[in-house]
Amino acid sequence: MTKLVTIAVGALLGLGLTGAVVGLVLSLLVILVLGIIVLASGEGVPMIYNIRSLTQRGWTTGVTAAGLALVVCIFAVVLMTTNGVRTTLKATGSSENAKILRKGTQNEIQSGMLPEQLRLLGAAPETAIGKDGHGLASAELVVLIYAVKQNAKSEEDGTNLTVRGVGPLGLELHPPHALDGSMFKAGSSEIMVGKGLVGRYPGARLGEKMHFARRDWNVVGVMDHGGSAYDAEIWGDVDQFEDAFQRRPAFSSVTLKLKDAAALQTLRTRMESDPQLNTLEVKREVDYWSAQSEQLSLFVQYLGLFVAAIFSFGAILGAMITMYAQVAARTREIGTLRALGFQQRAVLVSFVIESVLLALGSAAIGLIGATAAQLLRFSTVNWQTFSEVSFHLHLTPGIVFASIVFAMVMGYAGGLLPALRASRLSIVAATKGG
Amino acid sequence: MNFPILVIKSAFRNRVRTVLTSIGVAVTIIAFLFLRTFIAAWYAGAESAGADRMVVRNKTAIIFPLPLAYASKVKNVPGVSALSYMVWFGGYYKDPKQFFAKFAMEDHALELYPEVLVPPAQMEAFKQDKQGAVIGVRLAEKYGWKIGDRVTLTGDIYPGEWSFNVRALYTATSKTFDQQTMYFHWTYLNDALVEEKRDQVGILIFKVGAATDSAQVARSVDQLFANSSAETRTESEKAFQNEFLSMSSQLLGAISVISMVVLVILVLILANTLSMATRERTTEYAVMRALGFQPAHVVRLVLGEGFVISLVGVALGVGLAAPVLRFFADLFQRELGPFLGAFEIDPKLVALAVAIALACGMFSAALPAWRAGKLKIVDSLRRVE
Repeated sequence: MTKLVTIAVGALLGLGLTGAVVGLVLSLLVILVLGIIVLASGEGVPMIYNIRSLTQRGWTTGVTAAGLALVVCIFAVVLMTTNGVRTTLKATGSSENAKILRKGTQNEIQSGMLPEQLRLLGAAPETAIGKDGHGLASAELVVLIYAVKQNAKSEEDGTNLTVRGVGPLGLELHPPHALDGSMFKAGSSEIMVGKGLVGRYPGARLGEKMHFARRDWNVVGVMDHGGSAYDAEIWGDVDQFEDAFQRRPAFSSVTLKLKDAAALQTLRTRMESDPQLNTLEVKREVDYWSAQSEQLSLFVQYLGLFVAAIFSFGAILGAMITMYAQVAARTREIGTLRALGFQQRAVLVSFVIESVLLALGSAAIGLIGATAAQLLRFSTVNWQTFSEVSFHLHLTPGIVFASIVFAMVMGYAGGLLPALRASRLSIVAATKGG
Repeated sequence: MNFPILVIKSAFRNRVRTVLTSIGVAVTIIAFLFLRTFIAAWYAGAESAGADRMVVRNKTAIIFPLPLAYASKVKNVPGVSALSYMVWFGGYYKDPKQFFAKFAMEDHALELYPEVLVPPAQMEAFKQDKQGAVIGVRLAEKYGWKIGDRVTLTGDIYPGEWSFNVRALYTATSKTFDQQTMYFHWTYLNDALVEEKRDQVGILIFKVGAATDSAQVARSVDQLFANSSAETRTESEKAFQNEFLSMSSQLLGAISVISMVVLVILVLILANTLSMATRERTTEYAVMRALGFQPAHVVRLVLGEGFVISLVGVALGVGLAAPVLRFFADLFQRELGPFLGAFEIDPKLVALAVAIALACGMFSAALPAWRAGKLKIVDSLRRVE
């Protein structure tokens, strides 16, 4: 029974949406053709009249514009959030690196490998050679620690932070954009923190101490990885972490620099045929990180677009109500226009344009709101890794463009039917007044 | 003609506008219900937490295990009554993207959860079969599993293929207890592990007796293992669940803000309609006043109109909410897995939505009503539309 209802709702929604979209597209074509005819025949559109009408009725225009602006703002913020999650995790990792994990694991935290496997990978012919003549392969230990936030009211207000133990090659393989302070010294209790953690967790500041795994760790450096996921991590010496977290001899993953672009495929084939390496799986490092963002960004996208769709529906209704009222209130004016010689099509086009202009104005206001949202820093847990991901919202030109188009569609959809009514008023009745 | 009829007649005077506005109200109410139900579903886990259950886990983070030996030590702490343990298995069934929770548990762990119901005969069958599994009815529905079916999981934290026989199905008396979880024998997992991975558990769960100071018990448990290689953190199940939620708190906060913005949009739509409706009718109100209606009548007429329109809208919205939400919940589940356990609309929430919508209707009508009440008969009659 519930299944039937679900199917019915889905079908109705689907039909309704398809119908609406087809109707809008077809009508847009007709309006465009009419617009061209109007312009070409030199009849003209009473544009100034429409613009003045908008400013004349401040209150209704304002309310409708506010509604539209809110919707545009939310639409833009949703896109910015999805974009934020994606670019943060995509900016992590290099396409020249390969990441090796145990087969079947989705992330480094679940994965586990042995030192012998690192040695084999470091010696593989596909691995690039460093200055000292050794292969550029680095074993990393990745664990989570539970950290309570700065100024937290209770122990519950915390999150899982990623702690990454790296070897001497670690920084060569993932070079930070900038490093404030210094690199940790091998064999010591020194750590570096990502700039995203500074000030948000107790002790995460240059010169201070963080406490985890029953030890104090001196923060000697703050890393800036240009907004990537590493900016929310804590890095230290892999050997120290092996002991502190009692993981010896296993570690989580290997990152290695590939000799050339084709090396990934040959490395994969080699690993498959090697009995010591065929329990592992190799991926390009960037691919690994974008896969990590998939669920979270999909989630934000689905939820956000659902909300935006509902809101835009409300906003279209609002625009439609306003435009209908405008047409009703301006019946006599429309009659006058017609008596002056403006054709039906000119009235139709002009009212559609008025509605779209209203939406464009709202888009500008909504985008101002979205610009302000750029000041926000957003952090949430990535369920795929159970670790924190944190990012800034950025208003890209693509999002601005999408929002403007979105607003125009709303204005058009809201204005079409009222414009049609305006154009079909009979001159005699209209000039008599309404 | 009595007053209510007059209100209804004026509300439906401009039919197109009233219908459009009602649809607008309905859509925003559905959005509000959806977002609120979404947040509620998220917090459902914490809501279902038993007040007398406590959880012990590794202090560093949940991914680190505790030695099995801790179980017997904690059992002896005064105040601890029943104790059991589980470990998170991870892994997946066929498709890594289709997520459901899987736990390897000590055989009696579910007895700590009186809200979980398993037919005794099935429970017995589960205990007899080393590879037995207890699964939630909703999980069984999803994959079409029946008692006796063989299910093979692919492990990630515990590599390899793991086969189980479905021996029991559980239901839950509490709607918020996740019914899409799979439980199996911890001993089956443990026996298959290499020496150094053996005898470890993820969390210990225990009950404290009535009238016991649970915070004190938690402190004594943690003291027991202070400065050991695996320090513990003991807290109530609710606090334990809340911790997971707080990690997504900003996301939930954003959703909550959006659900409020929905109401702003609701007010905007209604206010727009009502202010237009009253402006058009200024002359009529003046005529009514001239006929002897009091300003209070006019005010009530406008407020009543707001009430009627929002009532129609909210009735439409509430009526459509259940199937529409079901549709989106299914879509979410299909695409993203069972993030949300019970996605059902709470009747209390519906009542709240109705109240809010009607209040919004009256609130949006307030300004136009005030204006209509204040108008001067002479000026309004003279005014020409």
